[in-house]
Amino acid sequence: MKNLEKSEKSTSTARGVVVFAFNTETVDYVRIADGTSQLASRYLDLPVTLITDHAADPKFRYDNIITIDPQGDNFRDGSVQWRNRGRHWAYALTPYQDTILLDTDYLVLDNSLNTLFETDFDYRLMHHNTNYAGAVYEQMGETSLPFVWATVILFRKSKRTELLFDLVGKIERNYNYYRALYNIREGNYRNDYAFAIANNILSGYTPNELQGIPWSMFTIDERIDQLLYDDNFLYVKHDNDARVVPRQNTHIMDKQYLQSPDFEQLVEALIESA
Amino acid sequence: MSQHKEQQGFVSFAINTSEVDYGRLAYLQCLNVKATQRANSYAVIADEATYNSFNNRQLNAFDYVIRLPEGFEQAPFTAEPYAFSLTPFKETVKLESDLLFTRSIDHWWTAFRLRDVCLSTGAKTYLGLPGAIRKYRQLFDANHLPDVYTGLMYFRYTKTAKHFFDLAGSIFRDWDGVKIYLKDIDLDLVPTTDVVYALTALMIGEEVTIPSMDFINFVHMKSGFNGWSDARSWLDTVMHERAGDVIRINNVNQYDPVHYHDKTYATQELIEYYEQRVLAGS
Repeated sequence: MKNLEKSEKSTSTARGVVVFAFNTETVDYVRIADGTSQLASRYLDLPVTLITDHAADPKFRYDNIITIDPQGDNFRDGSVQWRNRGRHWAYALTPYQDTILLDTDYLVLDNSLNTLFETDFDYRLMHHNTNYAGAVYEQMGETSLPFVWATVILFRKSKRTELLFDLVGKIERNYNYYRALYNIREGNYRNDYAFAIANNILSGYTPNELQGIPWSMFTIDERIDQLLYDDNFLYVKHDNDARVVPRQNTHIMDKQYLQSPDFEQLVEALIESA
Repeated sequence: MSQHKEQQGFVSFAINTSEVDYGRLAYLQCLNVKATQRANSYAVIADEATYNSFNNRQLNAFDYVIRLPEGFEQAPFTAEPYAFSLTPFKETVKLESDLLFTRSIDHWWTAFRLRDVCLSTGAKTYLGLPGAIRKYRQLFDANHLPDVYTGLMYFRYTKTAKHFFDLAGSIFRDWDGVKIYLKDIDLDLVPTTDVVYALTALMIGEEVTIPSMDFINFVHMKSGFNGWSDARSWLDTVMHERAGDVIRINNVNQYDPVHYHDKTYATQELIEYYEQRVLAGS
């Protein structure tokens, strides 16, 4: 199925960022969202809507806060807990015509996502991910289809996009079936998988990578003690190890770092210098 | 009397072995060609034993059933160069019998006609991407052979085509004398049609391939070619289903011809499906 929506319908006033954040017993996702949403707001110059639960006490002055009931928990390594169900509600809940749907652990450090609004699309997904070692997580399992990342999703209100999110909801409700059908390795429900499957089905059983975000996402998988920056580079420190990478939007897996005072200071410094 | 009865059509070989009923695969392929192609005349070239094994239904489906001449070499692959002298068509698309079309390739004939002989180059994975795994093609790479796959090829009645098949036939016959010039070769290797036709193409030149037309090839379902373990058939590795002629493998629709490789894919259910489509309407 081809795109239905053209870019000329897009206006800056109809655009915005949506972030889902539900605290767990181990991670203060709303606190993380407060930090990353400040960055998204500043670098994209767009309003930000937080979708969270009734117990949340956000500190950032979001343009909108929508409260819903979270559903279902996931765990990794017995310690990290997250609540990622219900992402398909983004389509119905977003107050924007054109939405950038972000995970809370995604640092927006430039304006590149806004450039995509000048292109024709119904939705764009992230199809590739790199870390220090290069491309990683290219498939959802040894014999499964190529990975898709739901960390960053751009979508416009359209019939096709509505179908995508409805399908994601259906996959979430029947996840065990789809997980078996697609030979998916992990047992935990992941929005990455649900969007990959929905995109595959909606695209006539093709990977449809050409309509995705045309660059790779950068992820720091490792622990972080400190993150520094200048105009061109990010400096990532952990123990005696330090890495220098080109400055770019960055997906950070270390949730402890994102809740640390160092991250709060980083956000403050980035906002002041932007 | 001319050997050629029609302008164009498909040809496949059927030489049964103790393990595989190639006549049955050719029958399925014939029905599939009839269902998917507008230019759909189909000839099968069979040895005597396979010829005698055909039932009436199969014989009625084939447009031409041609016997290999007595005394043809016993190794099945060495019969391949007979395609030129036995085809009933002025223009022939020669297929391996374990290949099915998922949609019409009528428009390919226009591209084929740019050449006297056109071997398909490269093969695709089920994701529609050029196959990157070279472990089956080390001999090709070591000797800089064109990456041809003879599961699907075109030729027409010309001097170049005759030269191609004569040369290929001589390489098959003189394999012991040819193989010593190949790098990294297992001297016990039985010559395959892919290797011999690649050598022939190397000698004749690019005029027997169109590598720039990357749609003239097929999906190769050897498991390892798709990045899976060779210990299991792809049929035991990923899901597959059909939507009409389209074969869906691991949730990806196949629009290129599918070389299904595992002969058990040719089930009685699939044959009956195409019999209902093709024979019921005839």
